[in-house]
Amino acid sequence: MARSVAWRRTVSDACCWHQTQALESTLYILRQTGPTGFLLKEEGETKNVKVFLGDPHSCTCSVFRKEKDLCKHICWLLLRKFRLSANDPLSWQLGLVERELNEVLQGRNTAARQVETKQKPNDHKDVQTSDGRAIVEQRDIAPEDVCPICQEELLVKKHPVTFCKFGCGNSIHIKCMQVWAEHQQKSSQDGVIKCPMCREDFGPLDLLKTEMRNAGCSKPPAPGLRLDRHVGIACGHCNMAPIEGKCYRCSVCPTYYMCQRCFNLPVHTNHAFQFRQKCNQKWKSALRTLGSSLPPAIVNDLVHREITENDYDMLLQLERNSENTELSNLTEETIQALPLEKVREGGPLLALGSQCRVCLRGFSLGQLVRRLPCKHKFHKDCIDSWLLHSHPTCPIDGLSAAPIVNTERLKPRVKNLKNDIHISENNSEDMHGVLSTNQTGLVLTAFGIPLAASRVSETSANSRLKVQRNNATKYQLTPSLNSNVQLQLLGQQFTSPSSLVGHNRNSLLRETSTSNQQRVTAKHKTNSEGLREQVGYFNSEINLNEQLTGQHLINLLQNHSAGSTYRVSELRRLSASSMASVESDTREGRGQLRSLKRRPRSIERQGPSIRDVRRVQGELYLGNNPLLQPPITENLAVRKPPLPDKTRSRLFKPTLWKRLPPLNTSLAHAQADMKLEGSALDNSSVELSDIHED
Amino acid sequence: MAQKRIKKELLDLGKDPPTNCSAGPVGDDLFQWQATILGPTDSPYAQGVFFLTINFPTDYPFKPPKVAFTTRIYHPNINSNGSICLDILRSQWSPALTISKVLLSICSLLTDPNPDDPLVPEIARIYKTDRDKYYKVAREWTQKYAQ
Repeated sequence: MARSVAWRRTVSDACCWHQTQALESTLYILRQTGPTGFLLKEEGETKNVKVFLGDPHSCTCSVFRKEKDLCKHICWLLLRKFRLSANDPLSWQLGLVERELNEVLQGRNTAARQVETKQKPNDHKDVQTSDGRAIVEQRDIAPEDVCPICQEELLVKKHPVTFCKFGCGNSIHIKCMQVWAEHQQKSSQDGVIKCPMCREDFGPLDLLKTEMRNAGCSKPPAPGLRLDRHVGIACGHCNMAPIEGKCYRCSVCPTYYMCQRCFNLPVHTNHAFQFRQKCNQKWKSALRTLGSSLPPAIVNDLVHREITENDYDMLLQLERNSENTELSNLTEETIQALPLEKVREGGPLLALGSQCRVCLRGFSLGQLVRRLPCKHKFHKDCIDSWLLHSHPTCPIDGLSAAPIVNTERLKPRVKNLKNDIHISENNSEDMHGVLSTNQTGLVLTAFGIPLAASRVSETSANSRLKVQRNNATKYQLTPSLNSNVQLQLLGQQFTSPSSLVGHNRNSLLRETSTSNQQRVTAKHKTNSEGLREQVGYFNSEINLNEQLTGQHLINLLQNHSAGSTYRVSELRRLSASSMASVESDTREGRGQLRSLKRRPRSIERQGPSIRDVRRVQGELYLGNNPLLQPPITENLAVRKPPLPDKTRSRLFKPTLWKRLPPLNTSLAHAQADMKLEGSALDNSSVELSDIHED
Repeated sequence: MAQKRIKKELLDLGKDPPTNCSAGPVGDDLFQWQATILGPTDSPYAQGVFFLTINFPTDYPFKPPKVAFTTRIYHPNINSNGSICLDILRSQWSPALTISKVLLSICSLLTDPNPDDPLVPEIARIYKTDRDKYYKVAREWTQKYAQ
């Protein structure tokens, strides 16, 4: 075929100049008037130009008419629209014959792909679908990029995405795309699914479903689906996603949610909130106390009384609460310890739709992938910066990313325990306050246990619960006793004997009869030394809460053995005051326990309870250990304070025992009789006098 | 889905309003909006303020919103009922389109009428044959109804 214009070997200067211009300017195709005819508009220009490619090319612009050489509009079409290379001779010809035009029109896709493969040579570009079409590269997702369907920022919610594989390469949420695909299949006759961005064929629905499976959106996000994990809801303040535990919803703003921690911070204060604990529950209105995660009852208490030096910790907690504590506390070593994998050929990571949920891009061969304890996998770089700089949890299910063993366990526990004890010392009204706030959706985390570090404070939380449970048991026995004082007594139990010296029975009695808050605090002051030791005791991993007193032991025996030789029923008839004295007896003398140990046969008869007693004995320091010191060989008359075993020697200094005040024997006798009546003990009086002599 | 997306669009409109357009819900119903378009300066509709109603279907964004002019306008693609002949509002709808984009498209339709696919053939004929007359009448209508 003869050309109407001669073939040019080299590019002319004018043409070269226009090519550069074309590559720098922005033009829009307003309309395609034919396969080779285009209506173009340049950005900022008011006049449109019509361009025809052919033999020769033509353009309606003044430059083309004047210079009779390729104008920038024609160059733009060839270079940008049809993606010819500037080195390609076809790009500078004044006209193209039919064959060359066809080449340009058809070859545009291959040329485009070549450009892309050049940019990313290591990506797996040979992935093809069943119909043999090559898949284009997924476009990078910028922070401001949104899902074209739901318009949500892709990198904020981190829902799995798919992308237009045969057209623009833009990312779309898989779930959104599925709805659109099903809608299109229903409404359009041909049932072709088109990309919402470029209207290219998006591929069959089956492919989308496969992707959905691989991306893991059809199944629950974590193996153990928990109802108190509000999947798909992110906290509006700290971005914790999903929200765990109580989820707070603004009753005014449509999509504003908050987690427990942020709810306690002074954010979004002008609207009322509703909350629910589990996703299948109804929303209930939530009361809000700002500025603290301490329960309102405790804050009230702090406001309405004098602040003592012992409140320091609580005030610190108040301050801590308002601090931003959402930052990750994971160390680099912890993160480095998480397992790494390399993406291998044929692995499930290369399957279509499987993606890193931090950057929302697929995995490619040879990339390093980190696996979290919850089995979710991410690009190493993506997850490392997430764990180090923003959250200590998995981005998908919010599970902790750290292994369970943590070397920094001890420190926070001491702190938390202190808080626990503070809380438990508030009077019973406060306890009610705590309960009621719990019911209305407020905090129990107030006990100084950060939500994020819940794993760390697990043990302290347990002990807290036990203190409360224990409190309840005691309350059953002595209904007239103030729970506050009860706890106080329990606290006394743990203090070193030195602190006991200061308290005779009468003072204890007085204290039981008063429920004055200030008194208790004042008393607490004198006991702060002992308290510290308590904390130390808790930390030595001995769970003492269950075995607090001999009285508790009796309780235990009563529960366990129907054929028990004890009669504890009398205990119920004891008044609060005598109860306290009984307690002081058991603490100082521990007569009943000793006598228990000296009667192995009766113990054996008691069946299941024996194990409990042994356990209690093993763990609670009672002054003698039957395993270390067999009772048979013991000389009862010259009994001396036994050698404490190694672990406890630090807490109970044997020398202190010698300074115990002598017991009033007659009263002790009377009470021991009252308590242990019919218990078939040989001679409880003997041991009590032992102590006396001692 | 629909409600969430409409809220999101409302938020984005507030953050980044399109030039010469505004839109927002009428009353409490999020699915009923009103929009205004200022006539483009390079068109006979310049200095006119045109009101539109927008009705969102319940399955928005998978179905296009129903957009219509409430202000009368002399345009080959807009009839006396205010219905707009625009492909993206019918067959070419895509969920990737937002109200902001739709309003911008309507703006450009005002500047560049499409006489090859007219809704009012008479105006299209005048637009094709006698451009001056079209400009004159369009300006008159704008002064009469949109100012």
